[in-house]
Amino acid sequence: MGENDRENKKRKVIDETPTISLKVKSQDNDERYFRIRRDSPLLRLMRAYCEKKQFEFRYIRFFYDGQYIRPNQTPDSLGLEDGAEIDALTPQSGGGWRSF
Amino acid sequence: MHSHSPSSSVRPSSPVAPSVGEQAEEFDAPIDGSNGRKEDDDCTAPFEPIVPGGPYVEDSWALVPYRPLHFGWDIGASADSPHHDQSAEIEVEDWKHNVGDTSRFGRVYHQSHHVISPYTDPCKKKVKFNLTRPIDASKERAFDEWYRVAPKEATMCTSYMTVGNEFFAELLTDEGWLNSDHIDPILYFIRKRRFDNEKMFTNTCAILDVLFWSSIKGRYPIWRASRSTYSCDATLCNYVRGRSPKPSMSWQICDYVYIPVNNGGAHWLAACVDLKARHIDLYDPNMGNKYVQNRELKNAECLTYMLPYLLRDGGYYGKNPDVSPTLDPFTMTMIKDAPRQDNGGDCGVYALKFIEYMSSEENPSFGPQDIMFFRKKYAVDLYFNKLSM
Repeated sequence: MGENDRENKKRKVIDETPTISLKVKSQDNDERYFRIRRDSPLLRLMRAYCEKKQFEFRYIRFFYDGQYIRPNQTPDSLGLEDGAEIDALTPQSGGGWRSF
Repeated sequence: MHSHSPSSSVRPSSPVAPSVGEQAEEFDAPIDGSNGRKEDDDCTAPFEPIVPGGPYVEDSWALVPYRPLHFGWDIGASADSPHHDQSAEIEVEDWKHNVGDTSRFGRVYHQSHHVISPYTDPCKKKVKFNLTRPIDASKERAFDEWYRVAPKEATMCTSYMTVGNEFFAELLTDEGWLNSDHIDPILYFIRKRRFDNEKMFTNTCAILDVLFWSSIKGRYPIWRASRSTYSCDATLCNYVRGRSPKPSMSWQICDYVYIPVNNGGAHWLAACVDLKARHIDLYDPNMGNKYVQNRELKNAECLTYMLPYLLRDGGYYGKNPDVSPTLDPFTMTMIKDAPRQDNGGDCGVYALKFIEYMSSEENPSFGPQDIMFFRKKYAVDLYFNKLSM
């Protein structure tokens, strides 16, 4: 009975906090879907994505509508809707080479 | 030396700078006013302004209780700035009062004769756009002071992204390579400056970011595999619609589109797309022999093939029915007389400067001697969260 109560409470909490599903897209059009609470920082999504894709976290940048996403931002603060798309970008470097 | 004598008829001044012996006396003296000083005359009492024309009191400034000097404006608007800065104008607007208002001294504000005069145009912008204007000395000093003592983990929160100390270190290194973390914020601030000072620019253009280039480059193999059924996704279409990058505008009202182009994570170029003429100019800061030129053209050819599809899917032809949505590739040429770098690390700054010059309707006319100055200017401007004019 006590366990049941606890489960019910858990489910209730989960049901009450609104979650949205987000699509993270890499540059080669590989799509991953994530479910995240509206008020939790997107850092968790970023870490999960990097773990799935086996990237190092600091080498990936995330953009929404061409806007750089800071890890401490939440879906609420960004105004993300259900099914919004986030772009993951590997930073590129360049300086030129001596070809002459 | 002025007197502290009890019989002094003038207002007694506060005990500032007496001789050593007198100071000792003062401290030894009881506080009950036996030395003749009234208790309400200490420094903490509220300051009574000296009436002009009243008895002259020596050292009357010493009666002023300590108040910290309050300067509400930012340091860029300081008086020793070598040029009239834009931020100063914004400050001035806050103090504005209307003609006919009564001031706190009881007098009415009149309109300045400079404004009434027919020979001056008050609407005329005083700041002229100059890309090679020297860095504001006070801003540079403030940045230097921060940068000198900033620890390695220090971060600066610009309005685009939070950048660390190594960001400035890489930017300020001679021949230091720039990565997309440098290119993107600087392009954002170039866009923002255009957006904030719309009246200063007569052309309309869109300045894109590295994400656009990577998206095009990453989707190019997919397009090649299925070019008949290919349709661009929302990430790319948002660029045409003007939803990203922010702030941007729809390509339908743009003449030119400027794109930073990366080659293999080793080289930066700038592409200028003429949408009406369906033509791309490629600016290579490191233009070598024919083999190298072909390599760069080959790298950027995905733009020529993908842009027609992107224009079709993004709704570029929606309001321009005269323009037939052809899917023929754009033409692309290399610009031969662009400035060239003389070392192996400055091409990021060159690419940024190509875009900055062209978007402000100026010919890219700078040389390798200017690059260190440009680097410093970008660093100072990013520190102050705003590109100077």
